[in-house]
This record gives sequence, C-alpha cells and structure tokens, in this order.
Amino acid sequence: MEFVVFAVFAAISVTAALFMVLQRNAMYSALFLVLNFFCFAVFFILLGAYFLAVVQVAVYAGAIMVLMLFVIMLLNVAYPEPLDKVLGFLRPFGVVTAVVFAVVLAGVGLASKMGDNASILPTIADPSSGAGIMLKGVGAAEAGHVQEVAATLFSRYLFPFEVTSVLLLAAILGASVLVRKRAEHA
Amino acid sequence: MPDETIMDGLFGLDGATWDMILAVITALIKAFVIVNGLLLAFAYMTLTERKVLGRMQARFGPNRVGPFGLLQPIADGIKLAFKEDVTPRQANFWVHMVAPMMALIPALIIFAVIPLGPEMRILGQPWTWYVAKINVGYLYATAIASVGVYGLVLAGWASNSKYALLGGLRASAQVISYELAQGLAAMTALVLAGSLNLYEIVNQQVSSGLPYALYLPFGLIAFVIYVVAGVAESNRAPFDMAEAEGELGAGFHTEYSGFKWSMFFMAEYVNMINISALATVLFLGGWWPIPTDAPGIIQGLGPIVFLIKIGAFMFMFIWLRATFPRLRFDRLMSLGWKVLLPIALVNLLLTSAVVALWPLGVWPFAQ
Repeated sequence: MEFVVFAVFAAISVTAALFMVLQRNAMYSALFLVLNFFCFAVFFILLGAYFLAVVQVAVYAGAIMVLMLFVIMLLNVAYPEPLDKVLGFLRPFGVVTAVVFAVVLAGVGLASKMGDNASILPTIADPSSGAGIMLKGVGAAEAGHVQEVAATLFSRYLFPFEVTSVLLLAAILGASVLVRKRAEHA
Repeated sequence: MPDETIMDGLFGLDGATWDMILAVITALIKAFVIVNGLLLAFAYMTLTERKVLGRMQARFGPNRVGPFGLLQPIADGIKLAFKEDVTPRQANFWVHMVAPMMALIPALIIFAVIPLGPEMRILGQPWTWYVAKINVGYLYATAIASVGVYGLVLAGWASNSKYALLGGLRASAQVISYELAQGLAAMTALVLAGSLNLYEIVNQQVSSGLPYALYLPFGLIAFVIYVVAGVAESNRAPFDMAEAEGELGAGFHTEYSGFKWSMFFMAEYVNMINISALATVLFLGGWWPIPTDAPGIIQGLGPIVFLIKIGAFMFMFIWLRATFPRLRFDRLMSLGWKVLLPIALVNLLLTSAVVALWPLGVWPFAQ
C-alpha cells in the first residue's frame, strides 16, 4: 500500500520535474514545479513527517511559488524568446553541474545501501528512519510533532536559525533600498 | 469498528485488515457527505444572501420559483450547467480550464480537519465528527487555503484580458497580505491552547468553560483581527477589490462563463464557510457550551451548536456586504500591513508573555 502510493507519486514527481525543465513557457514550468512540491509533501507524509509536509505546501507551494507567478505575470513573459540566445554561454556549466549532481546522488545512494548507518537516508521500507536527514537527533515518531521540531530549532539549531532570519532581513532591507533609490531619481 | 469474532477470517482477511478497510470506507462516506453538504450550503447561501440583501434594501429578493423562492438555486444551477462555456480565443486553454478547479478543490478539502462535535459513542460504536484529526490541523488548513490563491492568479493570467489580469493581481496581493495578520491572530489562540490540533483546541476551551474570544482583552482583539482578515481573505465586500464591478468588469473571472464561472462562486462561498468554521474552532469554542463528557443525547447537540455559530458568521458576511462601501486598494493594503499586522503581532507577544508567566489554562484577566 505504502509502496504503491510512493511509486505513483514518485513517477508523477519525476515527470513533473522533467516537464518543468523542458517547458519553454515559464508559466507552465512554474506550475509543474508546484506539482512537484505537492508530490514531495506526499513523500513527507509517507515518512510520518506531517509537519514538514504541511510546511512544504504552505511555504513552497503556497508562498514562494505564488510570488514567482506574480513575477511571471508582471513581466508578462508568456511566450519569451528562446533563452539559448541569451544564456547560451551557460550551457557547459549546466552540463558540469548535472554530472556533479548525478555523481553525488549515486554516491549517497550507494553509501546508504551498503552503509552501516541506516539513518543517512530515510527509506520507505524502514519508516523508523523517517525524515532522519532533516531532524537528526529527533526520534522518527516525534518528527511529525511540532513541539519536537520547535525544541530542536530553538536549542540545537538556534544559531543557524537566527542567522537565516538575519539573512532574510538583509534581503528585505536591500530590496527596499533599491526601490527607494529608483523613486528618488524618477 | 467491527466485532472481530464475526469479521475475523471473512474472505481470508484478518481483523486488523477489516478495521483498515472500514476506516477507509467511513472516511470516504464522510468526505462525500461533507463535499455535498458544502455545495448544498453554497446553493442555499446564494438564496439567503439575495433574500437578506433584499430585505436590507427594503425589497423582497427572489420569491417566484417555488415556495418563498426555495427552488431558485436549483433553477440557477440548471441554467448555469447548460449555459455555453466560452474560452476566449486568445486565452491559454489549459490554464484557463484548470484555474477554477484550483480555486474550488482546496476550498472543499479544508473542511476535513474541522471537528464539528465531540468524540462520542453511537450504539456502543465510537463515532467522530471529523474526517481527520491530525496534530498539525490548523497548519493544514492554512497551507491548503494558501494554495487556493492559485485559482485567482491563474484565472487572471490565462484569460489574457487586462481586467482579468488586474483582478488576479489584486486578489493575490490582497490574500497574501491578509494571510499574515490572520495567521498571527490565529496563533494567539494556538498559544493559549498549546496545540495545533483543532480538536484539542476546542476541547481546551470547552473544559475551561470559556471560549478564547472571551479571554479578555487579547483573545477578543485576536478574534476581531481574525474575522476582519478572514473577510478580506475570502475577497468579500468591503474587501472585494478583485472583482470591483465598476472598474474591472468582474475581475479575475471576467472571461469565465457557465459552469467554470459558478465554480469560482462555489469556491468563494465555501471559503466563507471554512473561515467561519475555523473562527468558531479557534475563538468561539466549537461546540461550547456543550460539555464533551456529557451523555450521548446532549453530545449530539454539539454539531448543531457548531452549525448555528457558522450560520451567524455567514449572516455577518451578508450584513457587511449590505452595509459597508468598498475600500480603495491602497487603503486596503495599508489597513492590512500598517494596522492589523502590528496589532496582531503585539497581541501575540503579550499573550505569549501571559501564558509563559501564569500556569497553563489559568487566565488572570478572566472575570
């Protein structure tokens, strides 16, 4: 049952990811990415990490992608010029990145397959390792519980958490400075 | 759940498998009832709205089809179902078709986590008034609600019309802005309850004997902010900038007709019901004052109390529409960002301080 659900959604997510990359239309790409995010939420649910699943939908699908659609709508890039003319010089870098990513992925897969440490990667067959990457030090049963996530976030990961919020604040300040400057010149 | 001695071994399946199958069937039946109930409520909400608006404007409202106009929604439905469904030639066909679904489906599935009544036993069998009780219930509701905005954005974009595009942009900017104030106001209730589980939140209010809206003053402030933001969230008057008839045609659904058009309306009304239900759960104590551990008959009144509270909210939605003029868009944005958001934030901070200083469940300012 669990495996069937996983297989169906894995197929959908891979297909959506492929279409996301292959589409010429920016709006279609964004929509396929949203579909992909939903598949990831399903994977989190299968691993028992309900909190992460809901956050995945709320933050990525509900907030970030809506802003992306906003940008696409405002710039009205419905049928843009082929990007290979503008960004063609980036193509070799893209190939290199893809190869490096594939090697890393294969390496992690192999390591988890024959490794002694089952918690490197969560596997569907073994739900007890659920969401081990995200919440190391938190038992799998508690991975879905908000209290446990909060406790880990505000004790063990307090410093990265605060640094991230400073980073976001800097981005907001930067954006408002840019807007202000343009308003003065206009 | 089935008696294991009877079901065990039937068709070669053991008791645990039968339990699972029955749980799935129960959930499916509940989902069927809820979806159809919501759509029926939508149909008669349109009639109620037209009649109440009529009375408030010193006229009758629809009263020709059937007794008291009670068959009017059915006539409207048949008309809409057989109306020609036009897709503009310049529109993006697929996105134009998917947009109404992306608006309606999230609205319908939020109700799965709403606990309508206390857990009880009917004829000795356990019975629950919700489809799912998950420990991130409130977050589920907000996450799904935030997905609903896709319907508006995509409808505005796919129609390839300036009115629709402006309407879609306005709608999504408004929904995103008011989500913040709404979430912070809701968090006041979540902090008071110490849980995200909607059933637990109601349970705490019922057992403490006081709904969170009466946890003066912070609970009341949060409640008011939640409701105001909720009205804005559902794009209703006086916050219906997205479909301001005078300036934008019909806003994001200008280029829609027939059944797709009515799907946007279903989404709007079902969202109103969802916001009312969530406000009832978070601030009005759900089935309070019905005690959770009362005998079965009295417990059965719980869902009725809950539905009456939702009905009161829906009446308020209509009343607001009949009373207030529409806000200008910049006023609407500054109300959301400069008034509601700061108040909700300070309110949440003070509530958290009180909850941290006093033992859980004790509210020093009550009475």
